[in-house]
Amino acid sequence: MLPCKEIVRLISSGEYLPLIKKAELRMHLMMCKHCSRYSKHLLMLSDAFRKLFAAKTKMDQTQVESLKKQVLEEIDRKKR
Amino acid sequence: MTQTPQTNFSSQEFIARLRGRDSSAVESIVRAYTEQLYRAALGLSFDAINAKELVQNVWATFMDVIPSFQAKSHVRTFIFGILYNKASELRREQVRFDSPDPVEHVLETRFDSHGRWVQPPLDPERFFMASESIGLIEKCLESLPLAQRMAFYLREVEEHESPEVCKILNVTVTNLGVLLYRARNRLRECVESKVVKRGA
Repeated sequence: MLPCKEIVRLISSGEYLPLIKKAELRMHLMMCKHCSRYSKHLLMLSDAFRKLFAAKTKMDQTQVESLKKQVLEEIDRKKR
Repeated sequence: MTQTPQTNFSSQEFIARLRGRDSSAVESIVRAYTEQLYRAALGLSFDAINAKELVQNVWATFMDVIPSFQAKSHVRTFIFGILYNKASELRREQVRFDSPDPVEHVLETRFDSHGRWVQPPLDPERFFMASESIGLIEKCLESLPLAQRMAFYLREVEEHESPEVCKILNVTVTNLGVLLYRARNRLRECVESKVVKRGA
């Protein structure tokens, strides 16, 4: 069985795993309370950051449109 | 994804027009990606004013280099690569893989010599409460080096595929794994330490 430390590394690096190792990882998570907590923490983090950016970037569209306009004007100005 | 359905940004015809700095091709690409770039700049913790300036900078560079674009990757990857380079220039930060990250020392203390937990993770409910605090997680994110933050942002928030993130950051798959390993563990440790400090 893989040691917990290695499980943590595999989960957090998102390393590509062959099917057999994937199954082994799943088994470990089912049996190990600590690693299962760890993996829950990472899921919570990713949820939390998605929420953070959704809130941050709920920018009003007029601001984005004006930025696009500025960019296009600047490109146009340089052309001349 | 967010590109206008009538334009295929990967078509040879479109790339050729882009290389020739054709006005309508440039306009459609600017319209398609400015919002994503701005969002990513905010994701890298630039404030609104600096994020806008950064986006302007990205497009200026894009116009300079587009005639020599090789189309080996998608144009979006190319544009985000410019964003990452510009951001690293501004922050004067270089990625290092040859020296360990501080979080690796922290992780060492969490396991015994057989790789078993000696300091296991906290109860998920308490962790969850901390992760709900936007101010707290934002602080934790700000403490990450730029490359880690960019890798985490692109992969976790924007859900870009790994090969694309590798091209944007100009790193190997292995090194992207290292960046994500460091980023996720730093963030987890940071949030958890705040729970412990509060004694909640």
